[in-house]
Amino acid sequence: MILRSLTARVVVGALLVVTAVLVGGGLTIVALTEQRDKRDADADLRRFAGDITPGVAGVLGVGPPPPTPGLPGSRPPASGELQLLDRTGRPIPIPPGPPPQAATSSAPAPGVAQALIDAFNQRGQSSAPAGQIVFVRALATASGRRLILGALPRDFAPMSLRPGGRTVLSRGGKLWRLMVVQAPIGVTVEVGALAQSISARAARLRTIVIWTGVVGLLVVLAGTVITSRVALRPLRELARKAGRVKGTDDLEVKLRVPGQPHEVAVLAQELDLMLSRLEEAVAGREAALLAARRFAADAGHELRTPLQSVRANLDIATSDEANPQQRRLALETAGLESDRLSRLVDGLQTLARGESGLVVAALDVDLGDIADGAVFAARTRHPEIGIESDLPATGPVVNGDADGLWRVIENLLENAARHGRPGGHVRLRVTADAVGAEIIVEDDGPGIPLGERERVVRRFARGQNATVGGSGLGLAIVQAEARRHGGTLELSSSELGGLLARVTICS
Amino acid sequence: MVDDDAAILDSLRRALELEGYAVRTAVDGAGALRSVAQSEPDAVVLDIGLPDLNGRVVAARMRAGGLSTPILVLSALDQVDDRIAGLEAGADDYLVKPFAVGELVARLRALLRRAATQARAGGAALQPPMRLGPLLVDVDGAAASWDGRDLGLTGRELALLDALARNAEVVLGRDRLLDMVWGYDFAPDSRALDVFMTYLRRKLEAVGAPRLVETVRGVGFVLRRP
Repeated sequence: MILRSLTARVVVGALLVVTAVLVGGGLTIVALTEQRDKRDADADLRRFAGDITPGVAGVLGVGPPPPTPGLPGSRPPASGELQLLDRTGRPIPIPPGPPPQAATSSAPAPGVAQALIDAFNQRGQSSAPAGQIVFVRALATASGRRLILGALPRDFAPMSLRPGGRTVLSRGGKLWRLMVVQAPIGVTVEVGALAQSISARAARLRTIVIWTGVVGLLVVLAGTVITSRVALRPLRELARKAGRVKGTDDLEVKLRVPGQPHEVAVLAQELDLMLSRLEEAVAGREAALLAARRFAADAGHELRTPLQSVRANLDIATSDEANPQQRRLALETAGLESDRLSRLVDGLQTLARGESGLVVAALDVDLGDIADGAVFAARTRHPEIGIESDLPATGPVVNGDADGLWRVIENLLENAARHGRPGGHVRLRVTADAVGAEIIVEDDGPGIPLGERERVVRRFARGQNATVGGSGLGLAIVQAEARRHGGTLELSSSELGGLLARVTICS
Repeated sequence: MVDDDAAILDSLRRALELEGYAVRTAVDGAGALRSVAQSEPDAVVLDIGLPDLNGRVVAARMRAGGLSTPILVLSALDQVDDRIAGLEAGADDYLVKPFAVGELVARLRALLRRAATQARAGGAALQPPMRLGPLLVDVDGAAASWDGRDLGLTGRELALLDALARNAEVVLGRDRLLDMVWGYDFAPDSRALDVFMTYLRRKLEAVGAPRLVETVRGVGFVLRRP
């Protein structure tokens, strides 16, 4: 599209419409006017022919003499103005003077001739629709006499009269309009007028229409340019304000202001909604970034401690001054610290996966079977702890990630075994509930004070009563996995005396 | 021993050599396949994340090439899918990095002992195929079928099914199964048994068998006579 500007499109559109209207209207007006003019001219010619028919008949000596116009005296007709011809075309004299009281039907009436001439002359430079009548020709059917009045052009055959009705013909570069009227008394009358006046009027009208159109178009052009610029001003205003967002990154700007036209208001409102959503997204991303940064910082800090210990012990082991017993102790410590590092890395990776919220490979899995395997592994790891498991004979089947669910139970059992009473009891229960399943792990240890429960779920947090060095990630992992499975982790007091951890899983 | 990390490869090689094993190493899948074809090892320790071929593909090609010795897969924690795929491709067990060398040695020793026992038994007398109704387990023919349809089991799955089938209607404890199938007289810190049991059940279900293997919670597993 070449017309990129909205103003240009509006203007061009308006101009096209107005031009179409003007051209169509103008052409119609000109055509209708010309048609009417022609109809009027024909009527005029016919009327004039009718009017002079009695006079013509009188001069040709046909029919009853017309009423004599009261003309005192008379003048002889000017040469060439009125000719009377016989059947062979020879001129015959027109007797002057007033008509006799009792004229014969065959005798020409001089007074009648004068009246005819007067009537023809009176027409003169007429402003009648057909314009000036240039000549009149007539033929008496019975006698064959002809009559010519006015200036019959040379290239008109003097004797030929066209059959009745109107004819338009071109002679000598001029357009003629001829009307032939046949009177019942035996006279045929033809009147001839130049048709130029009609086409001249049509041409004049066309000129007027064209110029009016041109001026009209200019006015429309100016008008639409001005109106569209005024109408589009709120849009330009909107663009200017929106442009400010780019410059300042200020997403709180409000584009919708009172007084905006409806269309602009809708656009502004949508843009505002978009901006606010963007603002939310940016805020969310910043929060996630902050969380990730904090996670990385925490992880770095937590990993540094055992790394430092490994490093120091290896230094002792490789030192020349250390005795074999010291060396052995240092290496054993380094090994233990490296185990701790492994657990931390395992935990961090599990946590990162759980916190990413990614649901991987969700299948229907038997939570009871998973728990059964986890209990077996925990019993092997902690033979000194009595781990009691209360599982239904089959199921519950939930939709989830077997590995993640294994980690939930493993971590809960590990937590209970480590932080419960040494040589104590741990109880695991898995039950189906209305929305999925519930995993409950209890111990008979010291438990976690009410005020601390929220804190210990956070990563790297350890309970005050915690004596064994754990990774500090166990409960955080459990919570992340529970959330990933649409569930929750709740901590409360167990009737066994220690902590009760309840995880719900939505299937 | 196949691993693309030179430091790990070197320290593990030294650790295993201390235990009296002769170790050949490879740093990629292609090298591993070549080395296995040349030296016919007694066991393969295979890292899952190799630069050229995925460990799972390497395991599958080794099995396709007729290697029947134990394959132990090493993986990182976040390579769960690859690890599982490795087991499906015919590996016998897995270890998650980082692991204690003692753990690796214990498993290798058990797997090798098991393989040696089986080889001796195979040399002495062929074990007749087990038939339980539509279920046919033929350890020496390395195949099991249900109603004539092959189950497509890997070596370890077949061993597991054989152990269960020979003790049909007898509940086998987890530790007993670990010993019978893997030769482990210790409980490995992994879900291997559960994972293999899941595969076995899926493959049985896939050919239309009823749920033959039941979990007896707190005890172990039992194969019900069909």
